[in-house]
Amino acid sequence: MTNPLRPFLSELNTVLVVDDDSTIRELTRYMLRRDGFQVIEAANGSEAVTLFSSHAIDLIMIDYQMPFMDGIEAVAAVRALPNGNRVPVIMMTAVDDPNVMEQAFSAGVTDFVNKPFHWSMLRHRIRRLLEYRHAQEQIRNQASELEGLVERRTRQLKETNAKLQQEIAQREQSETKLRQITDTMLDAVYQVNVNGMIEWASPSCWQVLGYPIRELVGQIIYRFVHPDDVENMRREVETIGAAEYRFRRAQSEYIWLETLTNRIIMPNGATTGMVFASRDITERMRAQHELRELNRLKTEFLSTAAHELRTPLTSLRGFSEIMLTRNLPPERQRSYMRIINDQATHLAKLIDDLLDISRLESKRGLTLNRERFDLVALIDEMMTPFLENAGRHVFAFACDEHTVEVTGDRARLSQVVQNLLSNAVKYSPEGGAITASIRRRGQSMIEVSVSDRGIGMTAEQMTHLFEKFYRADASNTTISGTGLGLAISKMLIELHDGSIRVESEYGRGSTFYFSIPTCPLEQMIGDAMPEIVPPAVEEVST
Amino acid sequence: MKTILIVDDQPEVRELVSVTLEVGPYRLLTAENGDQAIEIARTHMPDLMLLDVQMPGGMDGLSVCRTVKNDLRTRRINVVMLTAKGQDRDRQMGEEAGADGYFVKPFSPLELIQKVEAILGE
Repeated sequence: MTNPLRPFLSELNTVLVVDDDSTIRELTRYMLRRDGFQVIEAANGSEAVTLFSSHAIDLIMIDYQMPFMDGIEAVAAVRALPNGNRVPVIMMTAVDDPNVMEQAFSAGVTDFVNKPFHWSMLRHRIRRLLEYRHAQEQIRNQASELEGLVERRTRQLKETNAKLQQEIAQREQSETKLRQITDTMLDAVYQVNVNGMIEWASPSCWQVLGYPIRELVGQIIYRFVHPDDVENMRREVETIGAAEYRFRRAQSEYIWLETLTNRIIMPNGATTGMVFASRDITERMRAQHELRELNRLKTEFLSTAAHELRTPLTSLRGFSEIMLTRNLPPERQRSYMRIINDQATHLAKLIDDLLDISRLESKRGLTLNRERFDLVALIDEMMTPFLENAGRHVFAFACDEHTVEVTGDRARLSQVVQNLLSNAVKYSPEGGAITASIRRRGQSMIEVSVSDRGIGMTAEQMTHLFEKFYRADASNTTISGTGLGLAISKMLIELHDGSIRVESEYGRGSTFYFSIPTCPLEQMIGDAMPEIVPPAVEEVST
Repeated sequence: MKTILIVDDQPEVRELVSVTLEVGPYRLLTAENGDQAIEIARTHMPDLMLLDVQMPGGMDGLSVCRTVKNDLRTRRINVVMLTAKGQDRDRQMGEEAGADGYFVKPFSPLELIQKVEAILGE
């Protein structure tokens, strides 16, 4: 026989049977067990409540009239327990009073059966109630599952929300921090979009780039870049993210910028613009340029110097080798020895001049030994050897005063005078008057001149005269020289805060002038200062 | 007898080269500047020119060399640069001007004789 309750028996339903009548309990137990239920029995209401608390009960069958605690009281007590209202309760009663039934339903009774009951009818009721309970349980489970889901989701949302809030706070904080950094940094920081338009600029941009921020924002960055540098700058920004270029500042002057750039990349990978950080490196570029120029001049000087040194060495090496390898008559030997001697002297002079030049050009390499001395005596002294070997020249010295005191480096000024005198001799091979003179120029300047009646110079020659290694009329090979004398003289005079110039007429002669202050500039300022006498301190008698 | 033209603005160098080569079977000519050198080259057709690079005036040694080498009448003249400019760049400029040889000052007279003999011996 198939049991209609089997599907529920798989869950092994437990029925609590409550009746003070043991016969009814026994009968009911018998019927229930036969149909596969588990049965727990209670003899009264309070026992039922206790058992319900300690066992998993699926259905209660309870008698109405019982001693101590009647069925309605017991149902109310069970319903008050946790899970107490999930269990269907069938009340077994012999009374048919609507008031009692009303009372029982109110207390939580699910259904009634009249005693004596027909088992065949009761089993259907039990089945329906359990089905109902099962469905209810399922709904309750689903509902609670749903509730759990909703709760979990809500919790997740809350967590996400909290995280977002935190993130926003962090971002705000880091943005503030970033703003503070860009506000205080010396570099110009600005943001451009993909078209190169400035969208934002840090306050330092005003200082570095020379424009108010509101004038920068909205402008295309490339408009400020030197036309010659734009292409290179774009390429370098694109490839290495750094560039050096000229930027037009507000005063329409160009400054050199060193710029580092960074792409602004969105989470989807698209580039929306770039951040530029620029630094003014104009000073550095200028220094670099000067250094390169200095280096170039040095290399050029060395190569010229080497060339100049090789020329006398050619004679030394050549003639000495010839004398060593050939038998020559004494007069020829003597003639070659003369050349060797002249060239060795020239070489020594050349080395001295080259050292002077390199010291003078390195600025700090040569310091003047200033002293107070008489310029008249110096020129007298320098002219003496020339007078002794005057030959075709007539020397004269014109000065209105017996002594002219100046402050300067006596040895260095002697070198200049000597150079001018020897040039005068060299460039007037036919002889004639060579005149030195001293004249006052204003309050504080002294001018010395040396003039000759020699071959003179063209205007073209005069423009190059003070350049290194320049020799006027170099094709005239009877005039020797290093080509450095006047370059050195000019630098020495300028070191004395003076100046040197020349007047010349081609074929008629030249006059060289140099003027120097009678005392150094700083001393003049010192002399001009009125002596400050500190006011006498009155002694206070105590 | 082979003819050699010595071109240098400095008299000591002209004399040194002349003295160096006077022991050989050569007829020696000298010029003090570029213009003179070209004139003598055209009139005397020397077999060899020993040519200084740095000379005053418009015609330096390199221009003289180019002029000589670009002129059909004088292009067969051997040109050896004789100069105190010894750097690679200077040598290259000499080569580009068409020079057949490059000799750096200060030089050994003996080596110069050997060089000249080698060039004229062919």
